[in-house]
Amino acid sequence: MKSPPSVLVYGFGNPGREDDGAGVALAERIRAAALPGVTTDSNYQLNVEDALLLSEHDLVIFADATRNPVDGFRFSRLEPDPSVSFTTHAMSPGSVLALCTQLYGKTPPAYMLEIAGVSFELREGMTAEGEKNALAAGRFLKGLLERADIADFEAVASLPLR
Amino acid sequence: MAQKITIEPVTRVEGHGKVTIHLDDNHQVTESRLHIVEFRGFERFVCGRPFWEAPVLVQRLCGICPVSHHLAAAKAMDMLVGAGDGNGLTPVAEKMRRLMHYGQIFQSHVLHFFHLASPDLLFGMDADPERRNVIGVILEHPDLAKQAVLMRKYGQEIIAATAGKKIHGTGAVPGGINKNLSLEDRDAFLNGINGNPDLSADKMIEWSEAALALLLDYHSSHTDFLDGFATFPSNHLSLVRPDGALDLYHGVIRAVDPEGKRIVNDVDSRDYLDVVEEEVRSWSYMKFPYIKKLGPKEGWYRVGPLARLNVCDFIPSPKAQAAFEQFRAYTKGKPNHMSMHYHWARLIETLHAAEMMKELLLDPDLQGTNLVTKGERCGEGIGLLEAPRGTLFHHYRVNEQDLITMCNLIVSTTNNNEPMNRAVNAAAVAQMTGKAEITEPMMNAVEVAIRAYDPCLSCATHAMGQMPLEVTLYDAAGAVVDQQRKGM
Repeated sequence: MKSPPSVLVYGFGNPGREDDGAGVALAERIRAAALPGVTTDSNYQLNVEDALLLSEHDLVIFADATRNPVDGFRFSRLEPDPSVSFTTHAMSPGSVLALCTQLYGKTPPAYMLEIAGVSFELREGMTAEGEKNALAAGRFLKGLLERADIADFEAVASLPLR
Repeated sequence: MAQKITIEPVTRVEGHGKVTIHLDDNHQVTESRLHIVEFRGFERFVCGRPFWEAPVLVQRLCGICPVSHHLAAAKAMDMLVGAGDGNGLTPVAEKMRRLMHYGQIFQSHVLHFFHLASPDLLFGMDADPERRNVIGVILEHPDLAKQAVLMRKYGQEIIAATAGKKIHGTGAVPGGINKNLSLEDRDAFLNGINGNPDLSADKMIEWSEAALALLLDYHSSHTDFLDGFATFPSNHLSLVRPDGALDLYHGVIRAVDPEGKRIVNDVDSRDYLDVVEEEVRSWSYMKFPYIKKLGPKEGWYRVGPLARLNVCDFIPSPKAQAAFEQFRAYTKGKPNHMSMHYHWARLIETLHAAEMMKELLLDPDLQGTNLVTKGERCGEGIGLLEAPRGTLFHHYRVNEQDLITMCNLIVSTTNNNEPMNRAVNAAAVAQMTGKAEITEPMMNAVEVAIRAYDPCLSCATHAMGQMPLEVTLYDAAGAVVDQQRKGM
């Protein structure tokens, strides 16, 4: 029997800044679903050691809130970004992926799940719209993960979702 | 014709700020300023909340250094619940917090040196920016880069095991800690996480020594640069243990002048308002702290690794102490004023943190079960500690309903505000005097000056971390002569 691929769902952001916590909330929901082969992780920001984590999985999905004009959420293929967007303590998903490639010689298929946020102030809890978007993104991702077929990810990532 | 250069933002510096550099008619730098242009009132946000929430609440400030804020707030809450002012916790509580703190220092210092500073050192400030970054380091020094990743991971795992979770950790509570360290975790940290011997306490010490050796080797061949770049005399302030030892978690406030003479002599941290005052300037949201008795003109000071090694008498771990003796001998026992030597001091502290983590892991007190102390409740709490970038002040008042009525935070970068301005000016004088056009090496030189302090401008301004870079050159009449941007 074919074992499911090892999938990592990594949500990042600060839940103390309203919709900035959308990625973390999504990762929590996926964790609660206890899907076979799927592990989750969360942190405020991505960082260099996450390259090692990526190298240990067959497929990676990053989840983060976005200020971009996204209709609810957007799922797309992520490519390594050698330009290295990097500040004192944070890296972009593409930079972490590039780091993984350079350090460990592995580039797991990686996807970005952007969740539209509307407010990022110092306040607990997401806005109603952010929450709605995170729930929709969670339902979408759970459905995709339940099929556990990497080819499905490729197919969906190349299509507009909404 | 006089000119003004504006740099905004800085790419390997967190936060949101810009730099303006003013030139006179002869293209001589007359003044430089680091502007902080964004402000969010975090102190107001905390007011009205139950005090016991503070150690978790303050982590919302930003996600860059949550552990330092978590612990400083917890120390203030200790006072509120009558658990002393840093000396009243049970052994397991104090040592668990120290382990968490040294994990934080270790991972932050490693990141700063390997991924922010080393590209400048390994490739030079004039190197192509496409190469002068962490990927460039990986391509040419893959083993070094892998070490840095594992060192970061080790520190982060220590934090996760002691703080309970990565986001909004709850490890420290008013009066103590909410869990001890399991034997399984202890053995993993001592022998290798997940059975990997490269993730062991001894390996962290070995690699810390190697990083220090790397810097000293670089120093031997680039002495003029490291000694001369953004060097200026200053006062230095930090906490020290009452016997003068370096202590990053708790101590008394000590400051020395440029010659090493004590100007603040081991003052109880609860009396910080007798020592430090803050000045507001119209062009920045970040305040300018100074030593009260010296006034704003003479009383500004540096904090962070360089200041800590200038202020303390010794380091209470053997390998770091040997390195400290070499560091102090270099300036013949006098304070070291070389901004780039922040990196040297930072790596000595990295080694110290590695030694301290091992020492704490071997201490059976960490498996103790007496986690929390309580005493007589009071209405005011003050918590100071030495965060990776320098002294961090947390001060709260609460009412009879246990709600916070006042919060004052002085973060490390705010303490270093004036020195960063001076470092930027020194870099500008060296790089831009006589120039009418802004180049990439010029911009990077300014960044290098700020980066030496490892600032966290997002924290200092209570804003989310966004730091693009813009450089604008103005003439005497205020007209833009040249403008360069990156990371925007």
